[in-house]
Amino acid sequence: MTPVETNGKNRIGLTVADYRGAKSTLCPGCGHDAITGSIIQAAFEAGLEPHRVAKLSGIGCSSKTPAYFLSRSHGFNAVHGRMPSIATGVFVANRALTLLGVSGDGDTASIGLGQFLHLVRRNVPLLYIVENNGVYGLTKGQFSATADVGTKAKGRPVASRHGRRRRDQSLRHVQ
Amino acid sequence: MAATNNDFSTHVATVNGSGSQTANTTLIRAILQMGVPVSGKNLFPSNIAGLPTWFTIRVSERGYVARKRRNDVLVAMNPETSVEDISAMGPGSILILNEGVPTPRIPEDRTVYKIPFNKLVEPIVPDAKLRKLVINLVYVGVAAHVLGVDLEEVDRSLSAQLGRKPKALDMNRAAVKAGAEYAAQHLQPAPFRVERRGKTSGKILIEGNQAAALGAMFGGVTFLSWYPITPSSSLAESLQAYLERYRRDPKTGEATFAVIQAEDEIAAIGMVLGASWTGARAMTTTSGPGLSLMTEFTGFAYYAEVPAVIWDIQRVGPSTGLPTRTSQADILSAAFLSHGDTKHILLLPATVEDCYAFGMKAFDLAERFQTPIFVLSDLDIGMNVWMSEPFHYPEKPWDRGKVLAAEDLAKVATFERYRDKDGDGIPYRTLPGTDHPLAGYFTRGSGHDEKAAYTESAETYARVMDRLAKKYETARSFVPPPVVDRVPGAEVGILGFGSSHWAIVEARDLLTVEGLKTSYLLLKAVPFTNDVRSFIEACDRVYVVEQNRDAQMASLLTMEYPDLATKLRPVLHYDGLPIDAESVVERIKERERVEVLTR
Ligand SMILES: Cc1ncc(C[n+]2csc(CCOP(=O)(O)OP(=O)(O)O)c2C)c(N)n1
Ligand code: SF4
Repeated sequence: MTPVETNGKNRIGLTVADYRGAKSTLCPGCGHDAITGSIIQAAFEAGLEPHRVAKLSGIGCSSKTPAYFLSRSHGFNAVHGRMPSIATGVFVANRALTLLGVSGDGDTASIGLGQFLHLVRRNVPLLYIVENNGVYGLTKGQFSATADVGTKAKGRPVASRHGRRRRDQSLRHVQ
Repeated sequence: MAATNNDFSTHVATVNGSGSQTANTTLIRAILQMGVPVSGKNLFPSNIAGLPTWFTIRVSERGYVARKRRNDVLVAMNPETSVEDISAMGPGSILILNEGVPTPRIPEDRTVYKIPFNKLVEPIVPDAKLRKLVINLVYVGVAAHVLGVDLEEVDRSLSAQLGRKPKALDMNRAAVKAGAEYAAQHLQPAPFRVERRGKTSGKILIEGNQAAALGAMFGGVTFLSWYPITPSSSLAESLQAYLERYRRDPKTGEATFAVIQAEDEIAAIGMVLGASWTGARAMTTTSGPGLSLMTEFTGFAYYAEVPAVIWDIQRVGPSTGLPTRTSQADILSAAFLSHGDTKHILLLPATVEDCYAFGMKAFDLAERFQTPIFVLSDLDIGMNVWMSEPFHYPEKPWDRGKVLAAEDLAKVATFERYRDKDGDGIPYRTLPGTDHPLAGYFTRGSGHDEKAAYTESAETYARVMDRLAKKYETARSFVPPPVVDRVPGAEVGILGFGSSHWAIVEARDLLTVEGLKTSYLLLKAVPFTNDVRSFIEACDRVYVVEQNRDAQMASLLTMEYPDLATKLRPVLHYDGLPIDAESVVERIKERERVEVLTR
């Protein structure tokens, strides 16, 4: 990776601030914010040209985060579980763009599993980050498809809105 | 009996997958080549092979191309349906029957020709499997003789279709000849005759879906994403074929377009939105069930203001319905597709020329208004062959709408994606990849302000919704206006759209003969232009002709013009068969009797 210059600018002359976005509205301490921070740092260090990046997401707390980084880039916050089709269309229309997708475990593995698989099958080149917290954060803690069978949610995560005690409702349990 | 020249309808009953298409196309083209207006309608089952299928060829000197309710000539090849087919024929009709098909008791006044089709085709095609495909050409020969279709024109027409397959051409030619010779020896000419005229010079024959595909190509489409569904598939497939042929880089031979067969219609519309947002002219094609699946994304596109072109080739619903029959019953669902307050722009092609023109126009409107445009065609226009004037090369450059490039951004202090700078409700957009620090913005289906920032502010939400409504108002002066024929002294108006047009044209002539003069408005788009209001105002009462049960267009008109609602009289046709003139006439006359009585 190109080293960061000492004057706080990267190889294309931008500062970290140029890669930031709007202020996060997530719960204080939410893990998604940590990932946002890492994306900002990585984009800065890699010297990405913001105008060449397209940020894509679905619906969920995780999918809100593209608003919190790279505000100079175009972003597309789609409908729930369908970001892969948007990404496919964007890729086909302008192959010079770098695509950065952010999704949640619900967005990817529950409602969006179909589109996710077809995205993989078509080999669309994008960085696809699944911010996997095992639950639906935005709708307050229901389990997603990535939760382990029989998992019981532990108490509330720090100041978050989810974490109610609930059993995963896989078929085994509803039979 | 005196012969009826150039005014009759021939109904051919065969089996799906039996090669009847070549036979029917051969006859249609031959008649067109004789200078006589002709049209063809396919009535087929939702099945690939083995079920009954019917094809109707209407010959009309006066150029009427709607379905005729009664047929004059029947060719009954299919033993499964022959009893029913024969029973449906009226007095004076001609029945050309495959020898051995079951028949009901046939009244004296029908002329019956029994033809040993199998015996005639046997010596030509020894292979029994192939024989099934060629036998239909024997009826072309018989019909040509009986109806006076020039055999040389039949041969020209056949060569035009099969010229590149000499073996098939020879076999089919021999079959036509066998039929014609048999007929010449054994049969009297029918009282329905085709006579040469000079009324079709320069005319082309084309299906609406093909015309739409051509239009889309000239309209600059570079991306198509679709999921197969009858009756829209032939649009996507024609478009793909045209693009593969005509849209390649001349130097490298590489495609300058992309076509993706999506995994479903949700993905199809999603890809279209992704591509349009990035600046491509992108479209999808679908029909009822697919339209339903696109609901969430089209509401998104309306609210987040992303262009899209959606061709809905309407078929009979709800649910799977009658998938190979025609209807105009997606008007209301398309007009408001989505949850929340949503109003979409609809284009309503009535002819293959419209399909071609709207193929282009839809993109101009989608980009100008940054919103989904629905083009509501139907199975009748889309999948049947229609006679048409040749299409013209586009005269105007495309309208790419309000897009700011880096140079434009260099001249402004701020860029706000959803600010109504021009007072027409239409904001400016930028495309991803624009090299300017102001260019980026965040597209979202959640509440947003003029700067595209998230907000749940009550005032802002209402302000944005009002602007979207204003944008819809602006669209009134951009959509194709209706075609209006005001007849002096006519109290009665007819308002129609889409494939009902041709039945209305014919119905008006029939009504005039019976002493009822009518004015006519052919609607081409929603939202309505002011001409629609003035038309209704100027008429005492307006018959709204549409092919659905619930008077969907009349309902839209009522919502728009509550003060004029009492003038509207729905004329509804919804059995899946294309609407015919007699049905329109009957319903209007019935209603007119009541009008006169209650005056
Ligand atoms: C079609 C549809 N169904 C349901 C919802 C409600 N919804 C919003 S976010 C969400 C779950 C998100 O979970 P996940 O993707 O894991 O994201 P997280 O919030 O945990 O980051 C659901 C079900 C919706 N927005 N759209
Ligand atoms: S609800 Fe959960 S996922 Fe959402 S912001 Fe709060 S902690 Fe994060």
